[in-house]
Order: sequence, then C-alpha cells, then structure tokens
Amino acid sequence: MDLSKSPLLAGLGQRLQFLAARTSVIAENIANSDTPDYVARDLSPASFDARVGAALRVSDPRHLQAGGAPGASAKTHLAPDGEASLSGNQVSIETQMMKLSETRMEYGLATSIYRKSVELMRLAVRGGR
Amino acid sequence: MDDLNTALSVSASGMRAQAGRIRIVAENIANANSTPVAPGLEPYRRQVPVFASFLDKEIAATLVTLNRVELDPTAFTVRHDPAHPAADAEGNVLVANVNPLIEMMDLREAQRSYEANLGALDQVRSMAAATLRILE
Repeated sequence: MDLSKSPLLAGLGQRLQFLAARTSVIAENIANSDTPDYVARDLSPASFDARVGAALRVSDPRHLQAGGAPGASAKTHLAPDGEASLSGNQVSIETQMMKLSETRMEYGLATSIYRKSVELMRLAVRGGR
Repeated sequence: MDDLNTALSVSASGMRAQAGRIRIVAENIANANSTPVAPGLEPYRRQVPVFASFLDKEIAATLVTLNRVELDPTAFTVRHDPAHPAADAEGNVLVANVNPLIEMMDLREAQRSYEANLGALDQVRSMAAATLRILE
C-alpha cells in the first residue's frame, strides 16, 4: 500500500508543502522589512485553470505524462501592503504577522487532518481494537 | 520541511541584520559627545546602516544583509567652549552630529523588527513541531 497514492494524504501533503513555501516567503518579507525599495511578496495557490494549462495533453500512449506538481506551479507575486516608507520599502510588519499566523493555523489544521487519517488507517489495521 | 528550514535561515538573516543595526546605533550613542583631538579636525560622524536584500542561490530565498554603513553628511553641532583643546580661534568646538533622540527611535525600530523576526522564527518552529507530531 502506497500512502502517497491516497488522494487525501497526497492532497494534504501538497497543501502542507504550499503552506511551508508561503511561510518562507512571508519570513523573507519580515526579514526585509527595513530594506530600501523592497516590495512585499506573497504566494498564491495555483488556480484550476493554470493547473489544467500546465498539464500536457496526452493523445498517444507513447506520450509522456507531464502534469507538473501543483506545489511547483504556485507563483510568487508582488503584494505591496499599501504602506510605503521614505526609503521605498513596502512591507507592513503587522500585515505580514497576520498572514503568518493565518498560515500557521492552516498548517495546524492540515497536519491534524493528516494525523487523524493516519490514525483511522491504524484503527483499520488493528481491526478496530 | 525544506521550506521551513529555509524560513528559519531567512529569519536568522533578518535578526543578524537588525543586530548589526543595533550595534551601529550603539556606536553612535556612545560617540554622541565626541570632539576632535585638535582644532581643524573633524569629530565623530554619525553612521547610517543600509540594508540590502540578496538572493541566496543555495536555498533559493531572499535574505537580508547589512550592506554598507554610510556616513551622515549633515553638519556638525557647534559648541562654544574656548577652554577646549580643539577650540578654534573663535572658541568654537565641533561636536558629533548625533541626535540621541533620533538614535533612540532608530533603536526602538530595530528592536521591533528584531522581535518580528523572532516571532516568525517561533511560528516556523511550531509548524515544524506540528509536522513531527504526525509521527506520534
């Protein structure tokens, strides 16, 4: 049994990967909150359309499948916080801390669902005991 | 977990940069009353830290560094003190162009940014702990 093939666990794994990548981007913003001309960035999840576009069409059995990992198609984009200092820095620490705790909570949610589903599987393996 | 480790490195670079800034502010405050050793020489000139972001190719993240320290070009304060060894013909002495009030504000700002980085580090650490709890 390959756990990574389970749609729920695979989906949660990708969700965790995305949230971790977003945390890294937010940490960059906080670290650069005093750098002149630095504009805050954010990571947005890939939209359905973008994901469909990224997957190559297979019309022949000899074609290779190239779906592309959904985590990889999430794009970093500029997201100025609407607050600019004299040095041209556009990062608001408050907004970034809010985004960080939001990401933290979503991460906690995803890990607890993951844990619960693993527990469920363990329960099935033990035969309900 | 790789992204979380990257986030830790980023926050650490932010803390390092802010600590460097605090060091420079401390140098300014310490030298606020510095005077030249002889007439015609300049006293201590206020230092201004300038940050820059750079891409760390190894971990593919934008880190921050204390890029360079510039000198504040504003005029020195002039104090009338004919008894001073560095006084000129009119009895004036140049004093460092440091305003302790501005330095204190800068110190507060650096402290706030340092705490923000520390907060980010703490959040990332708790996320990593949540991941490890899956194994329990």
